[in-house]
Amino acid sequence: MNTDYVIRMANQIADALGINPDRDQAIHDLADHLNRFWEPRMRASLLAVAGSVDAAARLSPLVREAIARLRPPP
Amino acid sequence: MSLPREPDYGTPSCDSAQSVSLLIDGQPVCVPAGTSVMRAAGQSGCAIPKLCATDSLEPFGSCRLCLVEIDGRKGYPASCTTPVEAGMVVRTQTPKLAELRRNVMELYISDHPLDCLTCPTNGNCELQDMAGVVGLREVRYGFKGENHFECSQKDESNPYFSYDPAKCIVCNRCVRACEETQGTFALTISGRGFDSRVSPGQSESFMDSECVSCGACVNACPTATLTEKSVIQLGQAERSVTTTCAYCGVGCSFKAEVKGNQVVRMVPAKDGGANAGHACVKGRFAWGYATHADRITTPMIRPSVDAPWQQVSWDEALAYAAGEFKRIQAKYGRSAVGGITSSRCTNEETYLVQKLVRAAFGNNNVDTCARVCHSPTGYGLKQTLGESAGTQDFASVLQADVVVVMGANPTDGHPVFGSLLKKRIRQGAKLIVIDPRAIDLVRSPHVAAAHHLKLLPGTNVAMVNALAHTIVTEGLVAEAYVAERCEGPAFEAWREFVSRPENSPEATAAVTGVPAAEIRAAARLYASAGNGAIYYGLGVTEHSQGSTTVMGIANLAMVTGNVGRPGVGVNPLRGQNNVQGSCDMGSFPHELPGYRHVSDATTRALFESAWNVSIDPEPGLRIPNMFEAALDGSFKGIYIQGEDIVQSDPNTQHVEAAMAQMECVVVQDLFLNETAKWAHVFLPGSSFLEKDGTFTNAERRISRVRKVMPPLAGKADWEATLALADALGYPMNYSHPSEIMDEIARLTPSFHGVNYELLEKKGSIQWPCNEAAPEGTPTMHVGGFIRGKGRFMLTPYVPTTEKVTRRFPLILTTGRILSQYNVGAQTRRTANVAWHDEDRLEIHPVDAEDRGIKEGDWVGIASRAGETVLRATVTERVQPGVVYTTFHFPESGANVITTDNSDWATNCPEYKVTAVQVSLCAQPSEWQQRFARRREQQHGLLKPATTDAG
Repeated sequence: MNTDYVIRMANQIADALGINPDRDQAIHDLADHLNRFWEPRMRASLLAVAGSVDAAARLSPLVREAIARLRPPP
Repeated sequence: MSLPREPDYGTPSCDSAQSVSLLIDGQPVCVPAGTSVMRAAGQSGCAIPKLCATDSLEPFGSCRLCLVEIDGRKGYPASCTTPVEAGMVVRTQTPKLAELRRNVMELYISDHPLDCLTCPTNGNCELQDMAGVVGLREVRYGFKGENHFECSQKDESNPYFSYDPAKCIVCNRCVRACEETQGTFALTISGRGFDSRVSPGQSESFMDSECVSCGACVNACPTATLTEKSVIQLGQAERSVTTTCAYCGVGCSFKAEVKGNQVVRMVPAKDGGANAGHACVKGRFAWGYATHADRITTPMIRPSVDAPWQQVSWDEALAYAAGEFKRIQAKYGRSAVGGITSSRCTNEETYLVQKLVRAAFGNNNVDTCARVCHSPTGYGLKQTLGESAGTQDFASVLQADVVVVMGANPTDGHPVFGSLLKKRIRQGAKLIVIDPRAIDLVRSPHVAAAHHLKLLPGTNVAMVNALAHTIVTEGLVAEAYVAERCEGPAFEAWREFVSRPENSPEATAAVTGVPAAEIRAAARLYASAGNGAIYYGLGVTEHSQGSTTVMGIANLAMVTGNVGRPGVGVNPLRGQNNVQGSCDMGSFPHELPGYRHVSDATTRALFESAWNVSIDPEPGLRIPNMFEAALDGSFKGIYIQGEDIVQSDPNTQHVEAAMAQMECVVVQDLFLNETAKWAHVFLPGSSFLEKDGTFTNAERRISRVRKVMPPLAGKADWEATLALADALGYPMNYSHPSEIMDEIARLTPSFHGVNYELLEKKGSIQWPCNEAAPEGTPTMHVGGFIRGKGRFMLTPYVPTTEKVTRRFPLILTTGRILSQYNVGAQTRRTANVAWHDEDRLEIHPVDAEDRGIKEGDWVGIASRAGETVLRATVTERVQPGVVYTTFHFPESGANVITTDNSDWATNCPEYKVTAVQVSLCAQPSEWQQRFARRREQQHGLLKPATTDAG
């Protein structure tokens, strides 16, 4: 899926959930949101973004941390 | 023979708990205090003759036909304006009363044309009835004196009803209906005495006046003065079928009056739970699309979107579609196909489509048009209150003390609710409007908003935070309510958050554009209201922070204790007739029916057992994600029931590019809509008049849809879905939609008690309806929230990335108009085009002058996504820097301009904020020129098929 599309959406979610002062909870909520609402190929695209140094740099720090908690697409 | 009329007790019912006993014609009668003698008599079986009285209007006391005798009272009081008193002794039938009533009728009839046999309401005329009831046998005055028979021209200006002043008895019922029921005040009585006549506006025609063509006057008229043109043309109906309107989320109940299979008129049902006898120009009159010549009633297939359509049998079309879906899944994988359910179809039909996707396609790639309107409501209310639905019934507004209307335009989008709201405002409730545009509610006859917070588009979250800041920092929190009913730690975190200086009205004023003092005053008013109710619409949801605003609204309601009783609440005004229902039925790609996540093994097991399949535990694609997947080549086939995604979704050129990548698009619709122009299979849809089922409106009210005429194409939509499932090798065996509802009820806790038998008995039911609430639930969260404790959510304001620049210095926002409905597929094919036959761009005089734009000029509107051309309306309704348009006509290309920015949580498009430039223009945009060519080409591809059929 289009890289810009995936990065933009993931960062938007991070902007909304990053307000939580408990950073670990924010990371958990972000990963949970992606697991609950993102179809597997979208999560796969995000994981692919994370695997690319250039693209990953455009992800917000919160997204980068949440990626470790993503459920791997089947 | 005319249809039997509904009982009319002459004056409205009273709610008083105190009862009064009296004697009427020797019979003991007991009624609530405040009841009129007329109503008390009518309820006890002693109907009193009347003309100016009807129980939908307050008593008026002008016709003098309802005179009675009351012991101890002088003269002959009018029973309509006389309230009952304890011990009262009333006589409704005496020789003297009979004489007086005959005399009154004699005067009326002496100035009424005696053309009953050729009159369109012959046999359905209260004047005629009363002449019979009082025993009028002669008119001593003759008919040669001064009269109104020839004095006035008929007013035929309204496309739907005729006004014949010669037949008017000046009972004022139409004038009062326009005031009391509709709240428009378009009618008056001009002249005095004998010259008195009903007059729209300042002696204008109906079309030139403020009349909104709701039909309340026609409904109230006791003679043929105001008559539907369809009745004049077709004659009176033979039978009546109670059903539910297929337009907006109010879900009005109507009696479809029918002759053979032809609808003669739609009459709002007095006992309709949502509308109580009222209607709007769409539901009341704009039903002609159902039999419009553009209807496609034969299935069609074609190998590519540039090939001519070939008419085929249902079996052939379904076999072709099923074969293509199977081929695509075999080649590209199970997840390469999906479906879209329709909020214009019934609950049973949307349930079947999502079942087909989950059981026959084997994935969760199902979505619905709520994606582009109220998906943030589903998310936001679930997070905070625990249920994805509004909290009240519509009647609740009549108990509100302060009403907040945010990002909604009820008088245009939800007109029947708009009338109810205006009634409450006229009774003294205060109104706060939060909207970038001056909607009619801000100032209209006898209605004025106490505050209009005219914020800039895209700043809703800053606004709700500023309101919350005021409430929290000025000691207006309903502390006991919050302590008892809400999660403590979440509330404390929220209190700290909104109390921060950056959320104060003073700090956010620069963002919202609204003076801090105005925000503070509005917050104080809402928080101190007694009963404060919030109503909101797509101006809240269709933003990059739509879900955040919904949660912010729920926070406001909880912090002021305004959830859980009549008169308060959080009330999303749903866009389409069955948006609530389509969401309830599991149309979202992450939820099974009843808003249960697909990852929940227990819920999945329930459905797997019932459906005898294995259900994918992974969420599916949302509509915008489907477009992206189509563009990357992993999504190739789609079954679309009753939604025009190419016209209604944002960034049209992006959507078209995605559609062009699809290998099998199956469109099931009434017309060759914009999406069908990208389709390979066309399955003829059925209108709401052609099927049985249920709709669920914005107040969670489930109402029956009843078949009025056979499906024009031979199959109702639910039958077509069954046949497609069968062709896919997954037979579903239902013989009637009631069986589908039985399955829904069996599998969905909030619907456990719902069945067609109960719907017949009660008329309608508001879910949850189950063991805990066998009669349904008008008000939710009474005594506690569905999720247990209410949860305050933190709502940071994150500005949209769609920013104004020197290149795109204005903000475009979009909305609807009263006479047209969404993409206009229905209303454009009715006489409603008399009110609105093109989409225009509203622009403030200052912005217009800067650009040399005058009223009616053609202007180009360019955004980062595309460009289109519309005519300009120069108006102060919009503020400087903001322009506005509607999206009812595909050639307007409103969504060519809107971008694919979307809500962070749900992907609901950000229709309400697009940075644009506007400039004078001489020709249609490139897209519009391409559109015109493609429209011609696609209609050309249809022609051979039509010719063959002939």
